[in-house]
Amino acid sequence: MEHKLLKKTDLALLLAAVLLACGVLLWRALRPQTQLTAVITVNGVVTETVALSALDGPRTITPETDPPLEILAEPGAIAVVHAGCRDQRCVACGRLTKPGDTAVCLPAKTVVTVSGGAVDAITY
Amino acid sequence: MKKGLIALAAVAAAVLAAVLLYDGVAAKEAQQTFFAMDTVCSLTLTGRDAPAAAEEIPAQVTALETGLFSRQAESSAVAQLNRSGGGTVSAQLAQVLSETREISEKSGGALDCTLGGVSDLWDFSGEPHIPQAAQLQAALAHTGYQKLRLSGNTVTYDDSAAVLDLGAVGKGAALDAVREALQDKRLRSGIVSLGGSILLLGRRTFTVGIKDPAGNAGDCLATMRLSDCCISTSGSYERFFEENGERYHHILDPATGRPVQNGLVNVTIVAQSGLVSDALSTACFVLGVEDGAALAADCGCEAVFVAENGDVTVTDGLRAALKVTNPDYRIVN
Repeated sequence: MEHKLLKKTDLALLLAAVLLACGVLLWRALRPQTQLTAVITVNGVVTETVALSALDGPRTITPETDPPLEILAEPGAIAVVHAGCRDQRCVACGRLTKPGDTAVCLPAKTVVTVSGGAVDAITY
Repeated sequence: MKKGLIALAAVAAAVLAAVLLYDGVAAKEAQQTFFAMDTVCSLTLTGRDAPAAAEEIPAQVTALETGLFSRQAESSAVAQLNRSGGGTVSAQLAQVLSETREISEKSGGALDCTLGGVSDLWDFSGEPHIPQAAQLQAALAHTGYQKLRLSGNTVTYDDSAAVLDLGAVGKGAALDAVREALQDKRLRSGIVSLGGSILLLGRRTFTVGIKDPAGNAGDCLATMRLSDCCISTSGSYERFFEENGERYHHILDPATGRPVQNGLVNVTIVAQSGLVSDALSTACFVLGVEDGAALAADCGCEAVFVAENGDVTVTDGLRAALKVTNPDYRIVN
């Protein structure tokens, strides 16, 4: 009696395993970021991560910076509302509401950014 | 038959576990945000050596700034050159000066790294204001890339009042140094951004946005799908002030010492070299669309020119990779 090394069912099983592995990898690569999350870094260190989607009311954040900053997180948005520096560029950025939105305060070495977004980086 | 099936199922499970495990290890990701070169910098590296490499880069960039490129840092090589009117420099700085001069020549002086005295008068990093015409003329008398001569590693100033300023190439040159430092690391991919000058590493294709001059920090007018290259943009909206109802930005025309006014709001360059992309973004902004595109082609680079009225001009090699995402802008060529 002749024995085949692999039968049709065996091959199907192998194929299914490979497809499953590929599927898992693809899902991990493409899964959407549904949570809107803001990240605050001061001098390169993440000091606060705020799940904006999960907030049920406003929350004021005052990271330890010089000059001082006042950051207001609300459901679905975050903004630098006060900066103790001259140029006020981070305040002028207004409410950050979508992935990729960023406010930078160079004097306070602080970055407030909404994580995620359709682009990997922005050239400016 | 049953035993065979069980064995195969075990093999399949092992394959699946191995694939996931490998992916988990190889895809180790590290991110950093830091401040250097008077701007915010960020990086994301993927691969086995990513965490260690990501720790090293901020210190490397800061060392390049304070040790070599920044004329404001007293101990930097550029500051020492300006103080002593020349001298011997490291091979690394000599290479940067040589490449910068080459682009200055090709651009007919649209890139000029001796504009330091003129920039000081405008003081865009401090308290910006319109300089007096006489002051401007006096400062312009000491500019001109030809006034700096390089022989080997020796720099000579023909005019001792010339002020070397590598602001137009520093971030790009730093990207080149970062790439060199990372080349022996086990990385899958990486993206390093020094104030909007970007280095893409590895075979992965990234989506890079071009900032919308009229929008907020995260708003883009177009995206580009790119890999393994450097991207730099010069924009009139990054540093500016308004006086008497008029807007003055920081990209100065070496011929007049005044902000360039040619209808452009930003120019993006895609190149293999960070220094070239950085230098050309300034030079092409100064030259305008037609001459700028010719210069980019001469240097083997691609370019995107964005005008105040929303017209976008893109060079042929970048056309397929570029997608305009904001309806206020349109490709016109």
